Amino acid sequence: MQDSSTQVMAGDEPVIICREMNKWFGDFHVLRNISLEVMPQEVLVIIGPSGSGKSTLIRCINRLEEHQDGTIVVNGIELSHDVQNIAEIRRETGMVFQQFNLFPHLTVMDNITLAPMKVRHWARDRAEQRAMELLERVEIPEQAFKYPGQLSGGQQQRVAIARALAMEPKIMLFDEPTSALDPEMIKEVLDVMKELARTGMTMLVVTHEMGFAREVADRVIFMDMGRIVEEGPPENFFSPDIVHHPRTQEFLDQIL
Amino acid sequence: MAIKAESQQEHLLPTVFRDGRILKGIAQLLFVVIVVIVLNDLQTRINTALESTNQSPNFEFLQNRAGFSLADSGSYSSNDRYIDAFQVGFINTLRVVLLGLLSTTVIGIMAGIFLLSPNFLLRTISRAYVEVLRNTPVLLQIIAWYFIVMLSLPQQQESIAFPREGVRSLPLLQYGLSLVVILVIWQYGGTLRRPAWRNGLRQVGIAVVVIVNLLGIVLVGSGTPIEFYPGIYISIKGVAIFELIPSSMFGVWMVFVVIGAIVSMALSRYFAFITESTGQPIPRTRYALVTFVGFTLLGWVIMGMRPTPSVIPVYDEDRDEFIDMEYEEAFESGLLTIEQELEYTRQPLLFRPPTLDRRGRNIETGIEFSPNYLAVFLGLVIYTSAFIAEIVRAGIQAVPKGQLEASRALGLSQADMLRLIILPQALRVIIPPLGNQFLNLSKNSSLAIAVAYTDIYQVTFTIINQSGQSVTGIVMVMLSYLFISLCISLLMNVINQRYQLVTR
Repeated sequence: MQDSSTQVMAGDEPVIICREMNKWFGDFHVLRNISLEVMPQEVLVIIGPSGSGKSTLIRCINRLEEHQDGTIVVNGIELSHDVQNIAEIRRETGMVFQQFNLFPHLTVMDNITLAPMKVRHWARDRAEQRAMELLERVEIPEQAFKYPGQLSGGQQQRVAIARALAMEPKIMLFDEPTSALDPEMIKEVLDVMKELARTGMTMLVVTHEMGFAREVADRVIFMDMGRIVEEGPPENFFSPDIVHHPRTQEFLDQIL
Repeated sequence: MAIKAESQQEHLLPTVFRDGRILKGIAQLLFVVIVVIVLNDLQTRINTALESTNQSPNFEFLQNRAGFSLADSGSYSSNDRYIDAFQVGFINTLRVVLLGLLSTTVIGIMAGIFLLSPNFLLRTISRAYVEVLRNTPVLLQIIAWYFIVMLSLPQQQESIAFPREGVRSLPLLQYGLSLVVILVIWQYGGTLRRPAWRNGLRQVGIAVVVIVNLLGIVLVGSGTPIEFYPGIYISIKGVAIFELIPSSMFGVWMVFVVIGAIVSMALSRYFAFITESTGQPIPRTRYALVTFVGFTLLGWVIMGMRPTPSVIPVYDEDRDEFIDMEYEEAFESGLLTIEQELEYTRQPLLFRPPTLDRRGRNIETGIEFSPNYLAVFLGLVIYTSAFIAEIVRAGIQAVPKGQLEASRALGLSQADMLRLIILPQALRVIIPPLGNQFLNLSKNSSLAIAVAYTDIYQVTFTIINQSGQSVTGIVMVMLSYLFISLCISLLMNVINQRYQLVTR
């Protein structure tokens, strides 16, 4: 595994540290000895074939999945069975899902304001003001009082991004955010994510969008069979001149 | 071109009869004609058959004397009219259905939540409960409740009474007040900012209340004999529980209760407003509840301080005249009439225990539930609750896992997730089949006839046997059930509309 912290980052301390992390689903060894550091403001893209453990990896970071071995430290807090630590980490990490997972019984506005009001104890005025700013940022302020079922997939995913951002997280986790979208909607979601990356958000993105990885990522990680096979800056990763690990080469040949 | 030629190949029918709309119209017309003919024929046959026995359907006969007596019938007697007997049946059915719906919902929801419990024992027990009860006929269950449970209860003379006479305790009111004081300290103490002060106040406050109570017990000795006995009588004649009768103080006390309700609602609104505008979380429901209970008990205490006459005229049977007795003595003598007790008591509600008549056979005062009623009630409630448990379980499981993950990822607490995300979405799935179970329960109540509970079906059956008015009787029973069912449906539709999802 090569060291990638040669790049100049805004902070000096890594915001996410995984050391020798292992996870099993029953007998199936999903994540094997994952060691990873993410610096503040870094955009990390994780690619790999399905079943390689990339979604599981980012779901371990906010404890949607429990790792069984090794350590994960997020924002200086170690993930353990301590429920207060888990709650604190979840407050600082936003997550966007493949299936959007918006709350269908709440309006777009309520979807966005719910967590800031209930978790951060914001006043309604403040939460709603913030929600409108975010909706303008993802370019759908006119949809604020509709229900998720009345929106297109791309719009729903943009609301989901706004909902995660409303908690003002330090880290954003994207779990295949465009995989459930029609081709023309993919672009509108990716544009929002690019804009987010430009503002300096720390992002971990699991995706199959190689164009996005090439353009936005600071670092690309290739995973297979629960291992990090290869990592490096996108210029190197997608350059035909570099000699890749044979498994990486095989994957890249198939999708590029 | 080829297609057109083909469609014009055969024209056995004129174009009019190939028009789909006209064909549908003809079919509907035919159907209506057949129905009218059949109904008309049926009516003619019924009329001729009944007229030959001089029993044409009418409603006048309902004014005739019924001539039969009924159990579970309140003030009804055999000298009353058929319509009165019918009314007894209708009210008895309502007694089963209304109380049944309420109980079965509570038990069903609890069992349904237990089905999903991570606790193995709880989960397995509730699974066994559901599987046994929903896989055996409800008729069998009602009969089992009657013959196995109700008829094995002790005779009247050895009836189970709780609490028994002579049990000693501090005044119940003192326990109630202590509980409220503890709640108030706990709740309002929680507003202190510093955790050390907050915990200190709570612990010291509760310790003081407990010590005062313990001291009280020591000072009063082993307490005074409680006045509230027995609260409940259980015997082969059924279950009788105490009555609370509004006394002359009830009206004034209700003022306190109403003010308490208004104040607590206003408080709740105010706290909601504070939460909305500052974000500060306040457990407003608990505050409101504590305030309401506080007002209610305060009213009770103040009522207890009312000035009372020092002497009360008591009727002495031996001397056949009224004699003056000291206030306390009069109440303890047991010679006061119920009207006098209600007039002179310091309590807004008068506790009246269930008592037996002189021969020790029948319940004289108290609210009585006959074994027949209990068998029907328990049979229906327990049986239906098994189905409701499954509906609730399915409803909760129908909420996609992604909803839970999204709530967790946002950092919502377990309680908020349940209340704001899972429940509203689960109810959407639960309510329509729940309505069906409510309708099932209300209609299954007609099985009461198996254990001779005088519900509407049983009573009408008797009326029909005596008067021969089968058509009228059946129509009246049908309309009664229809009325109950429509009320339930209406209620469920109103609730359902609140939880419908808005989609495109």
